Amino acid sequence: MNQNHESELRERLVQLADHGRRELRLVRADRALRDEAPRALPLLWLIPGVYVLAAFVGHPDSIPSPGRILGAMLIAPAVWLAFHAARAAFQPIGSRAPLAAIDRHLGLKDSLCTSAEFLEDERRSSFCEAALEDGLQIARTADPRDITLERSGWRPGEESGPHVAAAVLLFLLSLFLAGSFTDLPFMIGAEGGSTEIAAVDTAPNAKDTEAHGEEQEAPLPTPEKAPTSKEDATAAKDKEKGGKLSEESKPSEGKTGSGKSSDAQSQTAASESRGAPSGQTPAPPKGDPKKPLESKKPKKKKAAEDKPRKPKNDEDQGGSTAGKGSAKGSNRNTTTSKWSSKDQVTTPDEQEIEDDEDTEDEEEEQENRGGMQPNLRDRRPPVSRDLRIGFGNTPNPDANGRGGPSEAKKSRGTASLVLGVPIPDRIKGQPNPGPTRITQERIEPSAEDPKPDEARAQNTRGDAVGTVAKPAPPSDGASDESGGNLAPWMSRLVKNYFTKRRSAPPAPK
Amino acid sequence: MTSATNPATSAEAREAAARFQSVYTNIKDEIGRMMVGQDDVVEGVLTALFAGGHVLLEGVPGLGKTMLVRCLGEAVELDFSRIQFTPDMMPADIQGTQVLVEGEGGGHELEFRQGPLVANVVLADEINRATPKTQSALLEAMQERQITVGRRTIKLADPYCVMATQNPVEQEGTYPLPEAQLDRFLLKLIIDYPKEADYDAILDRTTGTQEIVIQPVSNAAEITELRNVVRDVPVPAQAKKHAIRLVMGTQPGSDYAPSEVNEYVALGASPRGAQALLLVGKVRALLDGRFSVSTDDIDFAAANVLRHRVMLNFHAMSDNVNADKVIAAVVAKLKGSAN
Repeated sequence: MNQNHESELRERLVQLADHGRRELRLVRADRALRDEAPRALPLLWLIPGVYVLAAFVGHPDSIPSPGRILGAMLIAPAVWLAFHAARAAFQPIGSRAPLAAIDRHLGLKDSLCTSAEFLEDERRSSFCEAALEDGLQIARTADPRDITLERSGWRPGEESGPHVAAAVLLFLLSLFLAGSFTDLPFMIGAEGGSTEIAAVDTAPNAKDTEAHGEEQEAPLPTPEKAPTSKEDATAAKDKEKGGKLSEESKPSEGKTGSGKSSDAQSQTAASESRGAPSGQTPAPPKGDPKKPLESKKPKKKKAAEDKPRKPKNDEDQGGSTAGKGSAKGSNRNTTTSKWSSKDQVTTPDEQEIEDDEDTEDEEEEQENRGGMQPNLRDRRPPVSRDLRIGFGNTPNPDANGRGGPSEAKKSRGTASLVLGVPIPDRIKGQPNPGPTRITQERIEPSAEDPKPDEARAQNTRGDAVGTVAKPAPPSDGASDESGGNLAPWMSRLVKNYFTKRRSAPPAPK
Repeated sequence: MTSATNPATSAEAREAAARFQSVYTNIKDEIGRMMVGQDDVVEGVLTALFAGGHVLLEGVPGLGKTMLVRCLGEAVELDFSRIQFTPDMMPADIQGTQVLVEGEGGGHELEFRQGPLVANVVLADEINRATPKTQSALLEAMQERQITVGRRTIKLADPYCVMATQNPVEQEGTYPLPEAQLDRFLLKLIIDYPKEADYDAILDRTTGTQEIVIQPVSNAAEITELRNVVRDVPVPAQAKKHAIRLVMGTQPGSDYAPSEVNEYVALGASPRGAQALLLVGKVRALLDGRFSVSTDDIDFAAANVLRHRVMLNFHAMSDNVNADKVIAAVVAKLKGSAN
């Protein structure tokens, strides 16, 4: 790159840098305003708050005129923001930062900034030279007048609402305490040409107060309720006729429930509703009109009408179902009937729920739960735990997969892996023809008390322990020299041994 | 063929840059005859080849990782070798070993038989299935460009590029690459499923009777020359500072680290990451027709370069935060504090 091109490039970069510097100052000031605005908002209500506090403490005279209060409220945050914006804007900015900002703004891939750096490098490579040439072309096309850096600005958000509201309230309160509430509208500056500051829309005008008073005189019309019962209807008629209600108290007549406590009313209402079949039609499910809901209703209705209803006490009701008016009473009694091990035939009718709406709810509940789940409404008595031989060839009616006796389990074991060969767990064989006698023997276990051995003192043996019983002599009359069962030579050997021992002199000690 | 090393004038520099773009485009087009789609991955592989680095390809089976590397080897006419790693593989299996051979005079002598690691382009398939002992045999080759077997040291020929693949699905029976070896890969490229429009071409090319032969469009000498051209691209101070701050931004506790880094990162990138950023940025600048690296080039290379160098902690795993999100947060913070 020759000298002319270099100097041209330098000039253009300086121009762009100056322009970029000014733009960068504005951007930084704008950013400072954006960052400091949330911190300046509390100043709006701080100053009137101080005055109000002073008035409550006992210095009501310290509150100045409304104009001064308002001026202080606005000036304080303005000064705060101006200070921070000026400090950010007048920070020293080099020559590279504005060029980099322009590069980013125009998408020049750092061409200007790189050119400024390579111009100062004396030992440039060929690639640097090529980069400078490209930078010159770009600098020639970039017009500073068209370059305006983006500024985000500050917009009041949700966080400014409470501050402004507090400022307005405290301002009004300060006016009230100062007795300046009626001195509106007010002026700032005594001489001509003073500017009017429009009052904030919080100070009530006299006209508004008069209008408000007129509105208060006319009472709001109360909506008339439709008569729900006969008595209400008659009362409404009477009202229409004479406008006066009879002051005599009428005796309670059952359904209205007047004179009863709320609990009693709710209980009676529930008991009455339970006796009558539900006349409510369930709402069809959304998006699924094909569900055969209506087919279920008549069946359940018939079942409900056929079986006799057991009168129940009010105490058996659950608190959540009472007073709701619909037959949603679930059979939550744990002591519904006496059951034994053999008498577990449960009539499904007794467990059924009459309310048709619960069918849909139950299905929806199961779907929401992710499948079949134990439902409290369908609680059955527990499985019988009595031991017995078996059920023969009939399946166990108590088998529910929850432990205890159950049906034949799936076959397991290696042999079951052989395909096509069924190997049941229980082989149902047939006994031989003839009467089959099954005997049972029930033995009650009994505890045994073993006799413990008593320990005795072991003394040295002085005498012979006992005698060895000689066997009977031989029947053929032979001499009994054998010592019993021993062979003759052995008995002579033993005899000689002991004889010698006795005749031998004692061993020296 | 004119030498493009150390161009003296700007005209020669422009000529070298133009030649670089031409060779790059030719190789990419030749690979594109066989490889359908995956343009980002192909560009990444070529970038690593010209930047002198190694590539780690991660993707589920069947996406063409092996075919991509094989096509690259055929297009550039480089010695290509493929190593299928298995858990029973030993270092001698890939480096080479000495075998006893019978000499001409009837005697026996030891002869060194080179392993598949001695090549120009090495495809290390399923590298995470090899034991750490075998994986470490690659460390010296990737970093030092040499292999030491006993007393023998074998210098690996330039260009040398290891392209490793790993399967992110099969994690049982695998040995995750250690950080020291991960740091030696220039780029980690994630291969995703092809787009619907690419399936037709893939099926036509792989199941038809037409046989596609990849023609060599470059050679090892040209690749080595163009690598020097890449190295000649200057890096301005601003881009260098940006790369440094980007790497420091991935280190928890640094001034440039956003809150995501402090919360989710256990170990940040090392200075090797900054080196990789600049090298990839240089290739990017040349491809864009520029003669210096910009901050945009650094930002463009950030994800592929730093993805495997940032180690995340359990908080990141529980919150489903990956390395790409963390790197994007770092880049966003640096952009926001630019003015």
